Amino acid sequence: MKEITKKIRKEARKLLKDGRADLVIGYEQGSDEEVATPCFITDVSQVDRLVFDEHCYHNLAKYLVGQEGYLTSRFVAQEKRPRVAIVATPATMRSIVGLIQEHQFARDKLIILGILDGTLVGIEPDVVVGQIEEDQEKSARIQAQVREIEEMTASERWAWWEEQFSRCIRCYACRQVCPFCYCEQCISDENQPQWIGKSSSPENNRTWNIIRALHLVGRCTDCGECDRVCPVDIPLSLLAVKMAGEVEEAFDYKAGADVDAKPALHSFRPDDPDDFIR
Amino acid sequence: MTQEGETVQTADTKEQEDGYEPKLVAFLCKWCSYAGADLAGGGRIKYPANVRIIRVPCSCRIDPKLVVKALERGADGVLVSGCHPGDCHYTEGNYYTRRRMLMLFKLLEFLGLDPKRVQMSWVSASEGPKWAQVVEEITEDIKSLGPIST
Amino acid sequence: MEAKLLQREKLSQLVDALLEDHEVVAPTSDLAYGQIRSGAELHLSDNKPTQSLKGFFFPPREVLFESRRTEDGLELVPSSSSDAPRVIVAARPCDVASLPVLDKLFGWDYQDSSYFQRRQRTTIISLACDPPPKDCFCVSLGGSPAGIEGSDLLLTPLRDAYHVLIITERGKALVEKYAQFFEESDEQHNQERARLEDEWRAQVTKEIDADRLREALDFDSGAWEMLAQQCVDCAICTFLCPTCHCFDIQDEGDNAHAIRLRLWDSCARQDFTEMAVHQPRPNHFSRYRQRLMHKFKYYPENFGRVLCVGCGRCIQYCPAGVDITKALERAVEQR
Repeated sequence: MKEITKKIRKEARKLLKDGRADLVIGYEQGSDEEVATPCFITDVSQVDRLVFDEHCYHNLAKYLVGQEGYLTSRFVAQEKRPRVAIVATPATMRSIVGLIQEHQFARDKLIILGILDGTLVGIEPDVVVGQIEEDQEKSARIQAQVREIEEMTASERWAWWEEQFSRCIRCYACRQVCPFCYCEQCISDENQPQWIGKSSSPENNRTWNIIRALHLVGRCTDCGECDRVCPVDIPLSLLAVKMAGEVEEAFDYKAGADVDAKPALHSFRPDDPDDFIR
Repeated sequence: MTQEGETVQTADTKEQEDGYEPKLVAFLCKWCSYAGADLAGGGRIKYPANVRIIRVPCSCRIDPKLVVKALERGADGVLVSGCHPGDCHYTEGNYYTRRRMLMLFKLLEFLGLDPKRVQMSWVSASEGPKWAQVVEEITEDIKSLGPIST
Repeated sequence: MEAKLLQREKLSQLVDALLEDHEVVAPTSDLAYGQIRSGAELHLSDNKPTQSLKGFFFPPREVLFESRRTEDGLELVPSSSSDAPRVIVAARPCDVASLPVLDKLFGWDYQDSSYFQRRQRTTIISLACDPPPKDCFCVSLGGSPAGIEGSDLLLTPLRDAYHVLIITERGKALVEKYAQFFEESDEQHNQERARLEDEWRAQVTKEIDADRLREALDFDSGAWEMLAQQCVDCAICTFLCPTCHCFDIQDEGDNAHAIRLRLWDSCARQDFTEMAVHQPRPNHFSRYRQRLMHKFKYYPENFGRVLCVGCGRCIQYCPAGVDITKALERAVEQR
């Protein structure tokens, strides 16, 4: 980890000095040693704030897109936008792949300081700044939980999810941390028609979470940020992992794996599964 | 799910007489399935009055949220129907629908909704009898499931 | 102040007794307070509930009225709220301290009747934080892990019993009514309580200098843009905050049956101040600035105290790991 920090600082310094980047998005230490927080370096003298450790799990791709994302801000003219370099974990890189696939920005707009863990990322980082261990235990745990739910009866599943969704306080943190939720206006903020009731009630919460999950099918790269930030512990990763599995099985497509592929629901094959249709 | 705001009368009136009658919302593409349903009507083919038809320009118009919303607002089941593959008026709309609906159905199933409640069919403009049969079967399916419990 | 003792195992018995003619609200999990139906449901843990107590006075979803279409036209049904007596047990002192802060707002130019009805029907038994969680900064804002503001009774866990401090007449009445559960407290117990409070206060190390902020926070500071960079505009900090009180009025339902609702809203939201032709806070940093300025400058100017009790939830749950105490320091230093 120490080595990675060193390498990141070195690369960031070089990029800023040579004028190849105006902004380096990375991590710095937060209020204490157990907290890391995203940081935004524009000046060589600040480079030593950059760190990398096991608390650096935030998906920084979030900061690239959306109304005020560095690469897409509607407040900054295209030619004035900074040239960005980003410290990217494998999860961040997979999100970047998806965002490029969705034409949010072009590959050459971004310098990627990549950290690899042996998992598939559909993009070549400009510089590899380090290697970390894959968290296999976590993905195995989520897979096991998905199977556990699949084995329940339909009404048990319904009751289980109703209980999970009933806790939702509609803070929309899941939406806000998601790099793929870059819509100018979210459907949940629309009033006329009001697709999703605004208040926290069982029907509204259910509708919100279903629609959110649907909007991410075939796009979500399973970085797990929504699950991590949910203050009321709704296991949103289960939906992500379940649907990623379905997409892979039905359409042989893996989000974040290939920057040149067309997103699963933006394409089709004439011989797609058809047996569920009367 | 809530059942307020219901204005269609047929199935409700029937319900009072014979007990449970499910409400089925069907989104039909205007070029094939809607014409097929029209043909069934024109041909005096009998099929259950439980279905409420909503005509859309193409099955690809059917955003999954429409299906979710129909269920939230009191439908006991939803049917999505379009042209057979290769027959889409817009060449390929129904192929996208097929992918999207499969994913919607899988998600709803994972959340505990009985897969029989949301279904999809290909009904062409000439398939009046098939339309009647599809509605017949789905109504039976949902009748056996009963109303959605919340 | 008068004091009593309550043996540890008697707390749940007291709750059971209270339940006979009260609603009882207490922590039910690490996530939230909730209404409980027996003393056994009481969840006492080192973690403060994720959600604060404010929802029990200022509900996240409050029906203002309903309208139904009938044959004679539109029928308006006013909402009714219960006035059954209610006791909140084992509330965190910071959550309780937020209520007098909110009272000022809800009783300002308009008396919010439903809010005060809920205040009126509620007796509060707080439980001191043993030990105070790591992100708290209550002490610097005049609070304490064993603070009494807003409480009717304060329980402090001593070695084998709770020390019960009687703070208000209301608390006294409760102790008298359920006298069979309480024992006399002696000077030794009182001293032990005071010693523990000092010990816990010393453990709260994060701090905010409210007086300085009130002077130094600057709307036109160049620091805001930089400070807001990390924020992702979610509403976690505002929704979990015991003092944030912004709300929105929304309608739900349809032609036949509609409900007008008051809902929690958040100044972090993109559409929070959006009007038909204008958005006075169009960008991210102006919303972020609003939250901090409101808490530490505007509210003190209007109501004489900061809109923060130092519970630390915004630090603990911030998706981006933002520490409000540090952010404020930087806002003032880098002006």
